[in-house]
Amino acid sequence: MFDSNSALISAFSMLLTGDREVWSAIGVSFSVSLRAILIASPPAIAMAFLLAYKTFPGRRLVLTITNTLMSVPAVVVGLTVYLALSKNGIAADLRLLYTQPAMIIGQVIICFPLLVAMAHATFVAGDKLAYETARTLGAKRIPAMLTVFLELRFGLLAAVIAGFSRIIAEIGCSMMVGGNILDHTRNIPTAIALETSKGEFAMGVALGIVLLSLTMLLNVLLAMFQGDGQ
Amino acid sequence: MSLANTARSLTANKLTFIRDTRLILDCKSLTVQKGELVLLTGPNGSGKTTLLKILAGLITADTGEFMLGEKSFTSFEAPKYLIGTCVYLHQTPYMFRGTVLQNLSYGLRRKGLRNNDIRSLVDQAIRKNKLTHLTERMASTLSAGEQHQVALVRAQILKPPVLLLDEITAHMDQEARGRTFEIIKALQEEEISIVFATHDDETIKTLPGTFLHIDSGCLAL
Repeated sequence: MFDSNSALISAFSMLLTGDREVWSAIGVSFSVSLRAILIASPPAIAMAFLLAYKTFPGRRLVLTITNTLMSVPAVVVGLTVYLALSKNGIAADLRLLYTQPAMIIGQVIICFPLLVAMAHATFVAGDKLAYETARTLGAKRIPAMLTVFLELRFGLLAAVIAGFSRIIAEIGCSMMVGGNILDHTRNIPTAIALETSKGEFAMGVALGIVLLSLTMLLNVLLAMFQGDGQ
Repeated sequence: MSLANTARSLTANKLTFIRDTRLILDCKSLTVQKGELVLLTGPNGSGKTTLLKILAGLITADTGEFMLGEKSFTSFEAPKYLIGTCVYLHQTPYMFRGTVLQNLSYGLRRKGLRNNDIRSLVDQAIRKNKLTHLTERMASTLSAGEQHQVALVRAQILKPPVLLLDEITAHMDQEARGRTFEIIKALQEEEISIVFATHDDETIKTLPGTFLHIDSGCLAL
C-alpha cells in the first residue's frame, strides 16, 4: 500500500544523497529542454515580430495555423517526429530516433507555436511607436527590431518561460522519440511515468518535487525581473 | 567629433499614397528650403501625418520622386535615403526605457559614435536646452510637455537636415509651448529645415514660416 509520508522522506533522501538515476533524469531534462528553448526562441520571436509589424498576404492564415498548432498534443508531435525518424521515414538517414537530438526536435516543434503566439500578443499589446522612433532616429531594421525586443523584454521573457515550462513537463513526445533510455533519454516526466508504473513512488515523488520547485523558481525569477522593470 | 553640418533642402514631387483603393495622399510638389520652417495645416484626417511619415521614409509612397540636397531618388528608394536623415517626431513621443540621458544618446549610438563623443554631444545639448534637471530621471516619469522637449532635443542632437514635427504642441501648457518654440527657433538658426504639422493657433501666430494647407490629401499653398 502507498505510504505518502515514507515516499516523501525517501524522495528527499534521494535528492539529498545524489541518487544517480534521479539526478541523471534531471540532467537529461535540463540539457534537452534548455537546448530546445534556445533553438526555438530566436526564430519564434522574430516570426512573431514580423506577424505583428508587417502586413503581407497570408498573415492571418499563418496566425490561425500557429494558434491551432498550440493545441496539438505533445504525443501527436511525438508520433509525427517518430514517423519521420523511423526506419521508413523521410529523415531515417539521420539515425536520430531514441537520441536526445530527436527529443530536442520534438520539443522545438511543441514550444514553437506557443512562443510565436505569446510573443505576438506581446508585440501587439506593445507600443508600435517604439519601432518607428528607433527607425527615424537612424536605427537600421535589425537594430530597430532588437530595440523593440529590449523594450518588451518582460513580456517576451514570460513567453520564453511559458514555452520552457511546457516542454520540461511534456511526456508524450519524449517517450515516443526518446525511448526512455536510462542516462541517455530518460528525463523527469518519462522517469516519473516509469517509476510510478513499477510502484516506485519515492522516485516519482522526488522528481515531481524537482519539477514543482523548478516551476516555482522560474515564476519567482520572472516576478522579480518584472518587478525591476516597473 | 561633432556631427557634420548636413543642412540640405528637400523636394518631393508627384507623391501618391493609396490604401485599400482609397487615395490618401496626392501631393503634386513640396519643397522645403534649407533652414525653412513650413507650417502644415489641415483638418483631422487630411493626410498630414501620412505626408510627414512619407517624408521621413517610415511609409513608402506608391509613386513619387524626391530630391534631398543634390541627391534624387524614387519613392521606393526613399527609406534608404530618408530614414535617419529626415527625423519624424510623433504627436505623442515614444520614450525608450531608461533615463533621459539614455534616450538622448540613442540616435548617436546608432551612428556608431564613441562613448566619449556621445557624452560630450549630449552634455552640450542638455546645457543648451536647459535640461540638466531631467537627465537622470526615468523618461517614463516625465510629463507630456517634458517628453516632447526631450524628444525634440533627442532629434536635434543628430543635426538632421530635415525635422518633421507632428502636432507636437497639441497638448502642451503655455510654459512647455514657450520652451518648445525656443528650441525650434534654435533649430532654425542651425539651418535645419522643419515641416511642422499643427492645428494650434498660437504656434501659427508665433513661429514665422511658410504656410501649406492640406485637405483630403491634396496640398495647397
